Amino acid sequence: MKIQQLKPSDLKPYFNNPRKNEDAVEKVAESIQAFGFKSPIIVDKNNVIIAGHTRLKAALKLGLEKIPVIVAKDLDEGKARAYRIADNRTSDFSYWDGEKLNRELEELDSELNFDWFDLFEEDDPEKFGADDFQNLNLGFEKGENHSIVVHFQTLEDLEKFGKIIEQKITPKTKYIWFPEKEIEHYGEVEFEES
Amino acid sequence: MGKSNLRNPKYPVYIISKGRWNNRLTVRALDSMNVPYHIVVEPAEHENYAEYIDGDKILVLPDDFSKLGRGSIPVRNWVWEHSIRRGVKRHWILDDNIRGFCFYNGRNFYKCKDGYCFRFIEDFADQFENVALAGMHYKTFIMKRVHKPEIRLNTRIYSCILINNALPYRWRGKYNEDTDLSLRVLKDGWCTVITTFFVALKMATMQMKGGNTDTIYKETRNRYEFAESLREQHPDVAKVVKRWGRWHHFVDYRPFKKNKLIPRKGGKIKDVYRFKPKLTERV
Repeated sequence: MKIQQLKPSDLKPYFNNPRKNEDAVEKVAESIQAFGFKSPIIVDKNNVIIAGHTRLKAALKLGLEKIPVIVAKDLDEGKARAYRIADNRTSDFSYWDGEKLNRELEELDSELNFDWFDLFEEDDPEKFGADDFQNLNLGFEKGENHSIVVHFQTLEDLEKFGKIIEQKITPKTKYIWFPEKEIEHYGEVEFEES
Repeated sequence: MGKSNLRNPKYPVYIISKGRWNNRLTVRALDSMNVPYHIVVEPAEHENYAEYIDGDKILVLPDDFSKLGRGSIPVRNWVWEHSIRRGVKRHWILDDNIRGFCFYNGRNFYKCKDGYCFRFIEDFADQFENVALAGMHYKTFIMKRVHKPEIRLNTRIYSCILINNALPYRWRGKYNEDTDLSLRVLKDGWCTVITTFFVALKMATMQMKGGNTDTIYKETRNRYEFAESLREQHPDVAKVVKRWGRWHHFVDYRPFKKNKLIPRKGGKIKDVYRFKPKLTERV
């Protein structure tokens, strides 16, 4: 099977891709950055994607010039449609062996630039906000916080960024707030009957 | 019940403390909020604490407790029995390294000047038949990511815990005792409740002198052993993982999503919900 190197812009997403993959793009991009593009995208003879929509989005996000692609000339339109679903469904029938996964995680190099732990997020509790409980209204401020991921090509870039925003940032920094949230300087609150 | 009482806990608050009579972080925090409490100390340290704290606030443990070498576990169980003898439905148990309690309105943190944070959690828990443990999240966790002010269900409760006295369990083990207790109640279908809008300013474990830092934790500097002890207790949901070069326990709380709050028969929204925050911005 021949693997070709094509421009991401040469590939065409399938118009009716049934997979919602936005949440996965960031993690796939991190994986590609850490290990390279190791799993080719599969397209039909017209360069329409059969498997690899998320990888394409990750490649575009990373600004990659060329990515590995396999043209599946042997799949007609019907088979391509079926494979597009099968390729995504097969992982649904497998699951993690906790002990083996644990051993693998233990052996990981902690210096790798990849947030492994987030892939196995432990704590995803049921959450209730003010709308869920009658009269639970303590004057909360709504939805003005935002998060973005900023990548640095070099340690110097990271240090330069820290100077620009006037915050101490090191390679171990996992999060910051801008403006910086002061740790010890609070307002005060007391509660009154309304 | 007078208005002021609605801004203070109705259940007894116990601080368990060892070797920290000089800094008394939790005591200072509660004093500043006018929240009543008892501090539970070993007999050998009674005089040290009595120099700074009113005698009627100090509960002295029996003589043999300090010789058990099991950290805070026997003390925690002693507190549990003590509160049952008082005939109360729940009790608070607080670590002695909490610097304060804050209200988070989704944007900023405000130090609580009264004990409404405790009362709110108590009244919320009392609306339901099956709240086993309730408490406040740590401020550090809320700081890390973008969080909404909310109530979370069925996860671990730690350091500042409201315990249902009817629970058939008691504290056990040596490390991770709060995670262990949380898991035991969750496995039996109880619910746990934690707020992200009332939060505790907690010093990190093992970073402050006193407590069990110099005894229990000193015996076992190996973080792997802490994590492994929890995995042995709960192999179905707990694992040991290495993250950022250190060992951690890893708990999957997803199986407990099926535990649902059961409204108490005849339960009503309490008067306490009529209270609103009056914020004073930092200068």
